[in-house]
Amino acid sequence: MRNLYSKLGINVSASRAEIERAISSCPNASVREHAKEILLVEHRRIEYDRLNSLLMFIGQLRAGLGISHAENWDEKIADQYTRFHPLGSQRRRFYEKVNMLNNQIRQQHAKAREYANSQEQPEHGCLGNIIVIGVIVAVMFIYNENKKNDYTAPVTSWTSENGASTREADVDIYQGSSQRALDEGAAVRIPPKPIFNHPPQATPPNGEVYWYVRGAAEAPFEIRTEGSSDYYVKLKDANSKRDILGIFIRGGERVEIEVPLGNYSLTYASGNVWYGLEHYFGPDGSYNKANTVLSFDKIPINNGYQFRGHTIQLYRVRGGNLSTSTIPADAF
Amino acid sequence: MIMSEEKFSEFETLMLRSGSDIATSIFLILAWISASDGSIDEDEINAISEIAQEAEYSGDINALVKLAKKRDIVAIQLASEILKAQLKEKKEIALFLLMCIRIAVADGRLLASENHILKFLADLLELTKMEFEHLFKEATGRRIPHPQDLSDADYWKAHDNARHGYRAENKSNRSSKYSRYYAILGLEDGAAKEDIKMAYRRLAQVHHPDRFASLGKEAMAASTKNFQKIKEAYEYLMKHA
Repeated sequence: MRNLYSKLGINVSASRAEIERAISSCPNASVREHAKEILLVEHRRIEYDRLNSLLMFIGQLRAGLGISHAENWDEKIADQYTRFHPLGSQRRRFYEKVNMLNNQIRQQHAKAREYANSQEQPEHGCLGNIIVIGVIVAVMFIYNENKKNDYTAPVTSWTSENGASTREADVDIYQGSSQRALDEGAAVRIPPKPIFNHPPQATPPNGEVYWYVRGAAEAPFEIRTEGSSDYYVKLKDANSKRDILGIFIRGGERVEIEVPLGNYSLTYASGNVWYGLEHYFGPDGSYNKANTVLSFDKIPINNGYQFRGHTIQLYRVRGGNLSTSTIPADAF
Repeated sequence: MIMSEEKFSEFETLMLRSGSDIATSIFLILAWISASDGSIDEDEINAISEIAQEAEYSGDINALVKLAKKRDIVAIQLASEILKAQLKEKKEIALFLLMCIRIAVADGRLLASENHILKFLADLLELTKMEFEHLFKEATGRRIPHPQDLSDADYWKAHDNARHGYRAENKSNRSSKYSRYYAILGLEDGAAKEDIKMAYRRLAQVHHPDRFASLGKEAMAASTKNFQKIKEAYEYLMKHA
C-alpha cells in the first residue's frame, strides 16, 4: 500500500487539477499509472483516502507507543507510513492530573475538617455549622466519587517484560494460569490499590546528567530511544559497582555525551512518571540491566588518541546490539 | 470548587466517570474498529452496548462512539497505553483480541482498515506474528488474509468488476439472516451441515466463557456474548439450512 500523495509530492486534500498536474510531472511511470486509476476516480479516491489516512494515523500511533519497528507492521508499509514526531506519553499526563485532583480534594477535606474543629462561638455557631457541614458534605461527596478512581499509581506488576532481547515463540497463548487474584466484588475490574504514594516530580530535560563520580569525560556515548516512555540510564563501574553517572533521556529522543574511560555495567529504567533519583519511575516502571560490560577506552593513533565509545538503542528490536534482562527495582 | 490547572479531556472524563480506565479504553478501541470503514451502524453500536451492559459498565458508549468516529489520536493513544499497561496476561490479551477480531469480521469480511488496526493491537500487546496469526485462525476458522492494497490499480479493477455496482460503503448488504450466520461461523453461504457442525465445535471451544472465567466479570461478559452469537448461528443454520 503506497502513499500516492507523498509519491506525487502533493497534499491529501489536493484538488483534481493539482493531482492531474502532479501526475503529468511525475517521473515514476508506475506511480503515474496507479494514481490515474485511483486518485482520479471519485469512488476509488474516497476509499483510498480513508485507508491512507488510517495508515498515517496508525503510523503516528505506533511512533507514540514505540512500535514503529514491530513484527506485525509490514516493512513496506512501515517505510511509507512511519512517523517521526510521536506524541509524548498520554498516560503519564493523565495520572498526574488525577494525582493533582486527588491532592486538592484531600487538602480541601483537611481544611474543612480543621475549620470545623476550630469552631468555638456558639452564637454564630448555627449558621457557621451549617456552612461547615455543607462544605464537608460537598467535599466528601467529591472525594468519595474520586476515591473510587484513585489512580495515584496504578500498578499491575512491579517488574514488566524486558526490553531488547528476543521473545520465544509461544504459539498456544492460552497456556499459563492466572496469577492475579481479581476483585470478585467489582462489576468492572479495577486495578489493585497502590501502596506507592510518593509524589511525581517534574520530568528532567532530555540529556540531564547526574554525576556520582566526576572524572575526565572523554569517550563518546550515544543513547537512542523510541516511543513515549522516558529512560534513566545508569553506568556503574563494572568492578567496584560504584555508580558513576546517570542520564535522563526523554522518550523518543537521543543523547550524546562523553563519559570517563572505564568498564561499566549499564542499567536502565524506563517509565512514564518520574519520581526522582530515589524512586525513578516507581513501581510502574521497568528496570533492566545490560548483560555485557561496556568498555570505553582509547587507542593510540598518529600523534594522539582515538577515544572509543558506544551507541546503544533502547527500543525493542530483534537482534539488537544490546542483550538485557529485567531486574527488581531495588537492584537498580 | 475544585480547580485543576489542566482540564481533563472528554475521554479522560469518561474514564473517571465510569470508574474504570481499562473498560473505557477497551470500548473506545472496539468502537474505533467498528468505525474504521467509514461508518458505524446501529447493529455495531448495539453489539458493543450489549457487552457493556453485561459487564455492568456505566460509561457512555455513545460518547465513546463519537470519539472513535472523530478519530481522536490523543484519546486512542491514551487508551492504547492503558491497555498495554494493564493487559499483562496472555489470556487477557487473547480475550481482548478475540473480541476485536469478532467485531471486525462481524459483517463477514476483513477489510484492510480492520486488518491494519488488528495488527497494530497485536504489536501493542507484544504478540509475535505467529501468535497473532494463530489467534486469528482460531477466532475465525480462516487464515488472516493480506490486507487489500487500495493503492494498486489491479485491486480496483478486480474489485469493481466483482461488485457490479454494489456500493462498498453499504455494510448491511448481508441482510439475509443466513448470510450473517454463515459469516459468524466463518463459512461460505450454503456450506454443508457437516461443515457447520465442525465450525461450531471449533469456535465454541475457543470462545467458551469458562476459558476466561478467571479474568473477571467484564471478561466473562464479553466472552459470553461472543459465545451466544455463535450458538445462535449454529442452531439457526442447523434448523433452516
